[in-house]
Amino acid sequence: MANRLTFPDAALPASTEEIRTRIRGFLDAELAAGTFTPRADTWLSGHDSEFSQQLGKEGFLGLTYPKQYGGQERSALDRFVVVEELLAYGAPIAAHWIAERQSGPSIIKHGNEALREELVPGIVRGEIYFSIGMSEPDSGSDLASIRSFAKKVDGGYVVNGTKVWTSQAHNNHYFIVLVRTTPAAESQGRHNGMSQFVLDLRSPGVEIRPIRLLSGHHHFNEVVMTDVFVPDHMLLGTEGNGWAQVIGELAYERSGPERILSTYPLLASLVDAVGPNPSAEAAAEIGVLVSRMTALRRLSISVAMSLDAGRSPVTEAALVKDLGTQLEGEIPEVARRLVPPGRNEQFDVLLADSILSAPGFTLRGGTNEILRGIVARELGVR
Amino acid sequence: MSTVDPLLIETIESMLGDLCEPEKVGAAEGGLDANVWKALTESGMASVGLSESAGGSGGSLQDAAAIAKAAGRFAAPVPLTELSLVGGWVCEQAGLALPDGPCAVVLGDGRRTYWAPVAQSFVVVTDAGVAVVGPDAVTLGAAGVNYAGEPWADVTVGAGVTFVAGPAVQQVQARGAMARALLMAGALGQAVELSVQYCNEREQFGRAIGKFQVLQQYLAQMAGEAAAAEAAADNAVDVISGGAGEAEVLQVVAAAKTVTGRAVGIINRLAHQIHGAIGYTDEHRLQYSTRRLWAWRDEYGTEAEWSASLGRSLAAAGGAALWPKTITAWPPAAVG
Repeated sequence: MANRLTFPDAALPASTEEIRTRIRGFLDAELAAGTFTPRADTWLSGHDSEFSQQLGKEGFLGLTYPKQYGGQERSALDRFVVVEELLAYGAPIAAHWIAERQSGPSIIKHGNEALREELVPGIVRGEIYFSIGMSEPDSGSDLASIRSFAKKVDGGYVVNGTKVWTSQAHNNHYFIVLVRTTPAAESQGRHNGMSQFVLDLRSPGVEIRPIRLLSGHHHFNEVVMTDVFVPDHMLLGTEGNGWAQVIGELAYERSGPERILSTYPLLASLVDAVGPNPSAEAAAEIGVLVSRMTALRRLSISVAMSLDAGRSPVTEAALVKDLGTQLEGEIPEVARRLVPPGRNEQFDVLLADSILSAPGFTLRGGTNEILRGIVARELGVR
Repeated sequence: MSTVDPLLIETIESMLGDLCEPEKVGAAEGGLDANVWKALTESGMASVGLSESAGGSGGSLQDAAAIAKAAGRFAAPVPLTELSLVGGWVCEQAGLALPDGPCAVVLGDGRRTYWAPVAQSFVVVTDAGVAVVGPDAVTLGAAGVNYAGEPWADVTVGAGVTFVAGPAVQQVQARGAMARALLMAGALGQAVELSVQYCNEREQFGRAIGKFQVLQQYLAQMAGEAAAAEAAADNAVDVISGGAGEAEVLQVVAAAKTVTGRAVGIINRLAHQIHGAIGYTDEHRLQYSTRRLWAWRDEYGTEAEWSASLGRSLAAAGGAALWPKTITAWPPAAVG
């Protein structure tokens, strides 16, 4: 294609087969032992600290991190394989999810040595959990309009403001919070004057209020910070450079297997539920879903390989997330048409998980409409 | 998996870009463009991917796929893939000499044989085996053209043809579907590119129409569907060149034909919507891409037939096999 999006050849290295075999062996054993029951959308909703610690013990977390902080310095493609297997099995991985995917790498990249030593080994052990502190009540897609503010004081900063959609803040230990350190009016351009801090969610002055989802589940929170003191060494990176640090994480956040596979356990259950001799209609619909999934998985691998090679495929990642999250939402729509309720208990549970979570798929991590704007610009629309 | 040399892509795109100007593509309807065919055969491009020992140019299946995508992109009015990916492959497998001149592939009962009216050789594939024959050995019945003016005819093979052992009808059908998926991947990319260009050129309300968010959303959706289509076609190429068994070949081709065929419905609709009335006329080149896409999605099996076939095989294997046997098998991991 002559447009500017490029998806280089995709083939996971043969070396990833070893860890795939190992994680499958682990998950099969845990399933057999009844440690978990497969569910859909487990990276948001399946908070299980024992399971996360078990993954840490087995060496499945922090694979790419430096050895000095407990990591294994393995390829990001090894991590890709572990993550896609965890998602496909519907394992409960929400506890360590954000910490392992983006907080740890951010701290390793931007944090000072004390912060790295204090937090990263615990992330690798599956013991220290993070949330994301970006969106605010008046700042959703337009993240640069945030108003939370950190004021410099002796020995640290005092933070005031409100964050929303903070997944699992009530269960997690920290969040990396994006705040202004220079008022917008005094900054050279609206993307300047922001900074990131690692903030202990149990600090005095932090109030965590549940935001229940339409499913009745409690994953999200509003986090109100009133005169919260944050010591100097918890500043992540450089004061004023917060925006650039946040943007750098986006390609990692948007193209991973979790943007394609959130409802995979339902698809597998659907294949069983229609039986070995499905109607032509059921067969065709399943065929379409699997066809799309394998095509999108190729694109996702291509982006992961580009990242691993040191490129920054931000636009390609946005495109994969747009397509992948649409597919995640189509799976329950097809499933409910093909299998009436009340036939299969496991199927019904996975369908309910998926239907009620689906509105979030195309919102979280940047709405699909915003992502398409990014793609269109890269295509060369002037 | 083998990586395609960017120089090969540059060469074929430059060749076809020069030869396949829209008016020439239009003039060739009902037949083929002899200059394009000559250029592709004399340069050896038409038989890339077929082994030199069989009379081809050598190179990988990925190389042949890249050439097919370029042919789709430029709407090359010739039966390139009937030779490079379908008929030539049958001959290679059966130990027969490659067909002379443009060829058609006569599958099973020979109904609606693509390109038959302009073919100089016929690769006949039946349950009795395969054969290559000249025009004298066949009779053409009912004939017509597809939506893009590419000719077809019903073909009856005369008595007395000697068949040799070769690929089964179903496997050749799958090669044809892979070829159409690759052609479509190229043409889908072209429809997106023409739409981006038009969004930048056309002004209304005092600005380029690409400034309107709704059209930006369309373009991004189209780019997504085109990327997915190409990925599905590439998966098929990589799985097949990796030596997959016959059952898996049928599955991965089904996925490719399904995703590309489905993308046609979305991309053609949006490309024409973006282009407005001018794109719907005989004057505008968009039609050379979109009419081909409408035609190709129906050839060698529709996406409905292929997706049902894939779905049946997956259901028979059961939910537990889906992840390890299919999803994580495509694209295949690199070889150690």
